[in-house]
Amino acid sequence: MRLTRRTFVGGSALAALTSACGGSRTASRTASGPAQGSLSDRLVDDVISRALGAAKRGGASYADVRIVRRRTERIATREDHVASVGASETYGLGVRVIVDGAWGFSSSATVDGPSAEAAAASAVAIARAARPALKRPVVLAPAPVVKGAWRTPMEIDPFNVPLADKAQLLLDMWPSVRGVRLVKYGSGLFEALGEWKIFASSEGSVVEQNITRVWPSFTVTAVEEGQFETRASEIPAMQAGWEYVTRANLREKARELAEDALQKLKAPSITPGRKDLILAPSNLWLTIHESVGHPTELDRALGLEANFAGTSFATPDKRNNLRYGAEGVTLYADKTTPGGLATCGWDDDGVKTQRWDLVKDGVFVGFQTTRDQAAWIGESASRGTSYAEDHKSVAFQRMPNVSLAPDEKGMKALNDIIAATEDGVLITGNGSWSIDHQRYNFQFSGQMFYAVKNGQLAGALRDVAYQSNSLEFWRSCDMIGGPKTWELHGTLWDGKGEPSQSNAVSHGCPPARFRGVDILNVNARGKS
Amino acid sequence: MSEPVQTIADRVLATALEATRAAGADVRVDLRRAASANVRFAKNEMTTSGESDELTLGVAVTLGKRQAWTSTNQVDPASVRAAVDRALTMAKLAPEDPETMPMLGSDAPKASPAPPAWDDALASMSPADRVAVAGRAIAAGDRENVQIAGFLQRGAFEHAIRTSRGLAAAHRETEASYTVTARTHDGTGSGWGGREVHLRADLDDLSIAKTAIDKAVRSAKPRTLPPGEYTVILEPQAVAEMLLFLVGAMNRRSADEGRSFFTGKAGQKLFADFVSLKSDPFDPRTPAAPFDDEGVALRPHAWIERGVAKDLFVTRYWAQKEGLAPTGSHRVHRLDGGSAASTSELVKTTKRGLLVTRFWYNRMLEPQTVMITGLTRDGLFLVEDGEIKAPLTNYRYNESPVKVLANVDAMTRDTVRVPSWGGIWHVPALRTHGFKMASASAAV
Repeated sequence: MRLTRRTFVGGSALAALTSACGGSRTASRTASGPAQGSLSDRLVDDVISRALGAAKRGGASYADVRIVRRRTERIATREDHVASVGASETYGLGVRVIVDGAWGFSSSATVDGPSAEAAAASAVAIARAARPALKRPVVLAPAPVVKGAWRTPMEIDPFNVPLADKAQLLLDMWPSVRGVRLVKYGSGLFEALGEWKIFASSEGSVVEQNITRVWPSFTVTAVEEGQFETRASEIPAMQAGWEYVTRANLREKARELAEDALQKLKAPSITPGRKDLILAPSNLWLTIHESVGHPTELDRALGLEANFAGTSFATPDKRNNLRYGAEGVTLYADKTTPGGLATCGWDDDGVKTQRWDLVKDGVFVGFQTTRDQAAWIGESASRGTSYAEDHKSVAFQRMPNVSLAPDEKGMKALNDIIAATEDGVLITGNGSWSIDHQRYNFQFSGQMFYAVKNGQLAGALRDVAYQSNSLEFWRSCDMIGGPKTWELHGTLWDGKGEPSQSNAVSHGCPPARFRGVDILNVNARGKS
Repeated sequence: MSEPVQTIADRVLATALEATRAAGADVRVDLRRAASANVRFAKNEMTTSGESDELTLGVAVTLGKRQAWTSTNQVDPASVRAAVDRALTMAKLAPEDPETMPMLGSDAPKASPAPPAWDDALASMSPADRVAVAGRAIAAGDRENVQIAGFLQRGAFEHAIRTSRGLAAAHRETEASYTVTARTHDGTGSGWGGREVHLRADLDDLSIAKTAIDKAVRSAKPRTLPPGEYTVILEPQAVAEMLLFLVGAMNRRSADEGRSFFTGKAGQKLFADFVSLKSDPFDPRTPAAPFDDEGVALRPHAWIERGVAKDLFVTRYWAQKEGLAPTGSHRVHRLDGGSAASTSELVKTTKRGLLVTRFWYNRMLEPQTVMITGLTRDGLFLVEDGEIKAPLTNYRYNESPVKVLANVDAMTRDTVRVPSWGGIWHVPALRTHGFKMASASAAV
């Protein structure tokens, strides 16, 4: 029988579960009505227990079930009209098993007892078929049994805001933009991503989470005589409600974007060479993602992603003895920072989320792990970074939020860093990005570039990119902003794995300075 | 889920018509079935394997100049009704889009039947068959004492479109993508092999694994040459990885709006004389769906002909506005025009150059010139006097596919279908000159 949406039924075994955990991981309720999808007796009895039971009968030593509702919304505008308005939703269950030391996975779009049993049986068959080609059996690090619920703290659920209102918010930006000379085009975009999921394991864990993320953005294009420049907004994607969007001052920011685009079109082309590089948080976050976040994924460092994104220079033998960055550099991982896109209560192995260091005072100290990986580096527990993007995808190690700690002693503002720089470039926003398959050589550009001369901003520049190597780069970091300058940025669409899955992840950082970085001119137009 | 997607689509359309009749809206139902299965291996053993079989229902509603779409994976009657109602509600409240085109109907050109792109043998590949592919690669890796990783994914896809104006189209295809990466234990060598096929019989998995292993072994202990401009022989994977950026820029509207490389260049000879880029879903070598997502019937199309940038992608709206013919949105592309017998022949006729297996992390750097950045990877070799002389350390490149196809002087006659991120790419190997390797990469 098909499961229908029902509001939470009090007095059930599940009510006992959620209150037993003290409600400490339950954040504020939304103002907008019943949760999308809910944990009810029917789900537990019919679906979850039948999946876990079938897996056990099939010979699984471990099994877990995820029931996931994943929703997205996307509204696109161009100039004065809407270009696309749409919403998607998937719902279903995924069953993961370990049989005789081998993983197997299967899923179903039908959430009922018989489908749950069939998915479990299929996962068992796949695990059995894989066993002959397995050399080392999967071993899970122990994890406490968990029960509870968690949701994104927010005032207004963006999924309850009429799409017309969202479209209007984007359309309202065009009038501020169109008056600026040479600005011809403006594109608005709003994306929302919502995940409601239940995780339940054969060890007795049951948790329910409801995660909501939003991302408004706007891009302006200026055109003149066969040349064009675009300027994209720097508003971060955030785990937040609609109030985050309405408070983002989009109209004022759009006007600034238009003026920036004109400035960029008229700016001189950079003279390449080694310069001091000041990166604003709106640029640096992506460099952290590529040069710290990905290299410290343990499965990547051990060769499990070799066929896709490659491996890593940060191998386990280097832990505690590699100078990753200058002494002032501390980079930490967490799935707990408020507003972080990867923040939640428990990962998709059912492990409670936490914070830990990856690089401490410049030394490489930590990896990102899951339950089946912790033992590979002699850790007795998982760091809790397992994630699957939807019901039909297998959970595996995904990046948590990875951030650069602010300099609490120096308490510098961006202006202090600029004032201390004689010959440099300041970069904000994201443009091109690329890094090699062991995470050494990278090349990034940005949105706006400013010359810094003798402690002052000295005008906009164009055609700028910076190229470096991860270790050389972080070792050259000699100034880091204070706590007041720290900002959280991120992306909804980090890709990893085969088949590829998306992960939403944030990176917080202050502005920072890096000495003597190779600055390129990417202009091949033959114009200056 | 044994019902053909056309039957489900008809049923969904009936529900959609009922739900939208009163509003006078038009509806397009897009139903897809993806039965996918995979095996993944790394460090010479299985890691994950799984399968899924899902339907995706897309409902697009047009109400005058207002439109909206929804997508769901639930096709029971209540969920279908909810998806249609939701799309209709969204469309009613959406601001007008003056570029909204009417939905296609029974009076639109019908898609001609395309050569078959489906293979029962591939669709029915069992878990044991799939593991056996991995097993053969792992055994070969163990024998040759290299670390081996790879991924086999096979999909069986069915697609049906229906509109309230009477358009009906359907297509099915099978696809398998198999890639293997091998690395030497001293960490100095890495090699890659890969293919995409629609027929089980065309999947020579052991040959792909052996290619990766051979390249890994031969790429160990590489030499370093300085960054600079080089003659390069690009193997098909590398060609496709750059080509897709060029195709992405081939948009008539962007060109007309002054914000594309192609602005002012339509009809110009931009590439070498023999270069040709076509989309032809009716060519039995390159079968694909004969219609696009709107239901536009596709016809064979030449984008580059004898080096001339003949045509760009034109949407229905832009065609109407500018008095052009819409091109439809093509998924399959074939680059050809060469006459060399093989990559070996390209090597034999090269005085000095670099043989590139593939690229990695390719991104647009500067759209005005289609300047791309990326890295070489998994097999880069120095060719001198017609022979492969030594393996080389990798580079970051900053280069444009425009320049690649302008400076190309030889291309293999035959093409292969390469694993890709979207679309179907049939490409040759080619040799070109003045390719900028911008900086050294220590990555192996």
